[in-house]
Amino acid sequence: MADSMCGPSNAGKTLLNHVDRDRSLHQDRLAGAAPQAGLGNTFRSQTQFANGTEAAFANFQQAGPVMEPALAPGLDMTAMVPGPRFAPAGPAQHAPIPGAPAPAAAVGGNALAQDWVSEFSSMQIGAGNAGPGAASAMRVQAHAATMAPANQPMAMAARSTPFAAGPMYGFRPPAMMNAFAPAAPIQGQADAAAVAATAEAAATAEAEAFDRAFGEYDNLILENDLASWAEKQKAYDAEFAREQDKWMAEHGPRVMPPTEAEMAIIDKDLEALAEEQDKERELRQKRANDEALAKAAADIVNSVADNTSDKFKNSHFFELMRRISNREVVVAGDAFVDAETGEKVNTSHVDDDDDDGHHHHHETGAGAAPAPTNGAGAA
Amino acid sequence: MASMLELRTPGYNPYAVKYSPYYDSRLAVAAAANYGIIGNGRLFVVGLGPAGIQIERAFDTNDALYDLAWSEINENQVVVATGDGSLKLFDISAGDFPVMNFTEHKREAFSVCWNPVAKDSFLSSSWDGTVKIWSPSRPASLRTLPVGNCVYSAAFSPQNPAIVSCVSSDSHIRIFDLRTPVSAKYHLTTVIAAHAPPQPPPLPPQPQGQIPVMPPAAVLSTGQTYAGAVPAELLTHDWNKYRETVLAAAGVDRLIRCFDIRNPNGGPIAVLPGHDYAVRRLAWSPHASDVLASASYDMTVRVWSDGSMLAQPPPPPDAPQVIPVGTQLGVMNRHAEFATGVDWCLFGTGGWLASAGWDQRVLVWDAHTLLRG
Amino acid sequence: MGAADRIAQIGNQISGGVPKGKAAILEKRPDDIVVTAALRTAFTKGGKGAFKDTLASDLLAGALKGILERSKINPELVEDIVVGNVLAPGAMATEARAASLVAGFPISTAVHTLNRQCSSGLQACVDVANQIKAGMIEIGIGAGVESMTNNYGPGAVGEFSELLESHTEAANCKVPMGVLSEQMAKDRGITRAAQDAFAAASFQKAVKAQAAGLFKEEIHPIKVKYTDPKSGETKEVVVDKDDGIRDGVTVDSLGKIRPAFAKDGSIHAGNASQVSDGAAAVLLMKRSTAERLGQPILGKFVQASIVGVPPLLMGVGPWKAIPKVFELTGLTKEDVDIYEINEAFASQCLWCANELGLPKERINPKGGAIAFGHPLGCTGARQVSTLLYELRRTGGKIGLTSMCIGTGMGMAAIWVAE
Repeated sequence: MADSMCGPSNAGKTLLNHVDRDRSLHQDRLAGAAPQAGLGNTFRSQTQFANGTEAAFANFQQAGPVMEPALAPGLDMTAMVPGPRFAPAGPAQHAPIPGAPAPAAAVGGNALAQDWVSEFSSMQIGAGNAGPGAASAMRVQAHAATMAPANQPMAMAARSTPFAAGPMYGFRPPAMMNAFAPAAPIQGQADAAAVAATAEAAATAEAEAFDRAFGEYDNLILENDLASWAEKQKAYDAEFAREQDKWMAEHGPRVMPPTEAEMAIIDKDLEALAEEQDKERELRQKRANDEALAKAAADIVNSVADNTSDKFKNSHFFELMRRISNREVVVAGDAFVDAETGEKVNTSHVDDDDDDGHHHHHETGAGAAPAPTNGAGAA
Repeated sequence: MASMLELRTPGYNPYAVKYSPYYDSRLAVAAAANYGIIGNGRLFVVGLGPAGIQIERAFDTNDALYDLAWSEINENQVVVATGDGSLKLFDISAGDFPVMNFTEHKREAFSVCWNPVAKDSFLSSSWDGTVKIWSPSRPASLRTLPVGNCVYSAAFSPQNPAIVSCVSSDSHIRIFDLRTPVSAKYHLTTVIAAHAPPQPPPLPPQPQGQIPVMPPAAVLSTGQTYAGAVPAELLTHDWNKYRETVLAAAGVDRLIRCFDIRNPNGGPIAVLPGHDYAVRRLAWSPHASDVLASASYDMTVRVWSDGSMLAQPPPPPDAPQVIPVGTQLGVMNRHAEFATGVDWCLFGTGGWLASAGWDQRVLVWDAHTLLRG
Repeated sequence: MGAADRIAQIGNQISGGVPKGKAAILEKRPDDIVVTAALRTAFTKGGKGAFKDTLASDLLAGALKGILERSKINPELVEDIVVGNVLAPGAMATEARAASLVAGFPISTAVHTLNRQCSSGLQACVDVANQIKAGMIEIGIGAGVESMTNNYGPGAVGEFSELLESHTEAANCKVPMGVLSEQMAKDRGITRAAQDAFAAASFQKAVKAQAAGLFKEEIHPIKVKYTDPKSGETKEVVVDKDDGIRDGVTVDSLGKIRPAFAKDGSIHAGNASQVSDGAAAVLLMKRSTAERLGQPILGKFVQASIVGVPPLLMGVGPWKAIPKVFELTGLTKEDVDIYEINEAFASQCLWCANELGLPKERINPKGGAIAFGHPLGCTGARQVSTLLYELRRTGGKIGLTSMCIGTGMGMAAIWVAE
């Protein structure tokens, strides 16, 4: 505060505050924000690609997922064993075909996938649908992009165990067909029927072509494999359960409650254990208490360390405190005892000198002077 | 010294000594083995007679005794505060065991006081942070007043049977009025921070730019600035026997302070500096409204005047508040250990005191000898 | 168990917890917070002096480097550096961290800055001491720095909202120090003559001390770049002398200066603290640590007090803070051998000294801020080296540093020289 500085200051200085103040720090920190972004407007600005980061993000969104080949090693066309399983029996064959490999496309490189798709669609398997095919391919890709996370584990799982084929098996054309419903309306309602007809024909043709290309596998083999695997699993489970039961019978807790005799033994053991623990705890506590005692006594001795008067030097109380802090005296039960001998410490002041300077031995304490005269006396 | 009587309590270190309200020749001494740190306790009933000072009876307890109070309705009964938190009522004319046991406090009980006006109740205070009101004929307490931290000393007002006072280790004096309804405050009516400097009245609002006049700090009558002190445990207090609203409190910071409970924020009305260590017991004289006795860990018993009898000219309006510093009338240096108990004898010409200390001595002496000497 | 509790209770009743009184303060305990190195840079005039082209961060780096050179301590052992600063934005927290790295401290040494106006340097030392006491760190440095050349100006205070302006005392925090000190001087009847006498004495004491080389021990020379305003040439200079100390200042010569805040006022540039640049640092640790490391012990920090006073009466800060620190330590004014009371204005310093009845000959024996300057955040840390070296030189034991604080506060601290 310039004004509150201890030092000469001009009373007029405060006026300068209103003019001179540097307000740059108060402004939003988006240097290089779009010119239309006034103070406070920047975050609400709708202009896309206003700066480099936004542009990059938009690209990213449109382009779809970029996958490292390393993440899905070897997942290319040839390893596409699961592919044929998606071979549907129904129409709209063309769609699922790029759809089935689309998971692969999702896991392949983005550019790679694009090449592949365009390559495939140019294979003319489904004649006349190259246009919408390409379009739907794009859509599929976009859709697949969203489904990619779900696909990925399944695609990879396909290579590991046949067991995983289950969910993939469920990942059937019906889902794909729903995905491609949007493709149809694009053609418009007018020639929907014609399109549908050609689509159906094309689909069947494609299916045949597909079977020719990849047809050495079919559903039957898959089902057989699955069945045999399931049986093996069941047998394994049963055996495991048996073994487990056997082991539990030998080592596990008993089903029948223990007998009286057994309980007695158990109780005795527990009690012995508890006693041991108690003893340990007591010992620890005693040690802690002794320490606390010695420390407190040491504090007392230190607090009067600067007192040089005779009274304090000869004080029995401080002597006792000194001995406690040296651990010469400890607590035993209800008294102070000498740490070595175990004898009770005598805290009596019986041997102190009397007022008249002579050493007397007192029992009940007889005074040297007569009692003061009574006043009112009894009540 | 010829006019001093001495009693020994071998094996036990006295914590309190009180004259009987019925017989000026009878005293009780509450004592504990091993300085009250460990071991049992003993209540001595002591008589002053032609043969000098004698122990008439002794009652044993299995824990230390820290305080005692004579019954105001039964000349033979005494209640004691023990280290296990219980209060025990002994009867001199009965057997060795207490006739009543009051066990509610959860920690050491440090003080007991019999209601001198109503006579039908007594109170106790404890390390467990409470003050309890009892009837001698009922084992359960009548009222529990929460304080929250170790209450070293509690008492009934000698003039008003419904007023209870206590001092505790948080350096505060608390006044309770048992007639008030038990609201959220549990009868608490006044709190005085014994260590605090006097609070000046709040400054009236000043327009900006104008310098307010800052009230000067209070000064002691010796000229020193009284800026207050660090909070320190209060170990003892006592009500003035003549001025109904005045009490004195003292403790670890060695300074005895007198307060008027009508002005809780006004700071002390007198201070009595002089002790070198904590003050353990205070007792206002029953004969003079300005005379006070104190027992301290510096092994002395001192008699003071708080200066209230001196005519005070009215202070000039803008002057800083002046707090009178009392006068030390005398120092009794006979105890060889901490002095822990002091009580004035009610009868006779006045001036006789009994004091007790950890040197296992109870001394009965005339304060006038101090002044003369 | 009951016995230990009861004994502990008795112990507390005897000791009351904290040792008090002169004898207790002078005792050496392994837990004492000791000063093993304390120094300051020279102070130069704001805007004109040799430091005018040096940023506060560089002054701080110089002072911290000096601590390392003097104490020869392993920089890795220093855990926290607390820097007091008033005017730089954000109290220059970032720059201070950078400066510590430049000075040679490793990244493991933490740094933070603080701002309690004119007491920032002292508050920094107190914070380090408290951190050591609490066991948070073992070794720390309390420092202070101010470049009033670069940061003194209207931008240093924020705007006051309506809410603040509407509250009397809050609005009072903005009243310029000069104005209110002028008012206070008038109110308390401190004449111009008295102020000028005080100021002249400060100059004369400083001149004598400088001539006798009494500042040599506490000043750590640092090399900085300086651009000659006339020739435009930049050269490197070693700064080791306070340039504000002026010879030949008398009551008469001061009497000719025009008052700064009111036509009939008494405060002017000659009897108020100078605007200066400078830095200071104090190395603190426990006595046991110092002994273990073989560090020489200059003295120890005992206790500090902080009080609030009406903003319009900020000058009375020491008057309230000094009795409080006496209460906390059990000392009296007779126990203190040297008082270092910051001379923000001759009027307030004089008034506080009079009110408290402090012996004049023990106050600022080497002069004060009127003579050699008051770099705001630095002064509190500067007073430590000035005080400890003078106590040692004169055989004194107990010293007190204190200052008034803008916006209405006061601080005081007790130190012991060994």
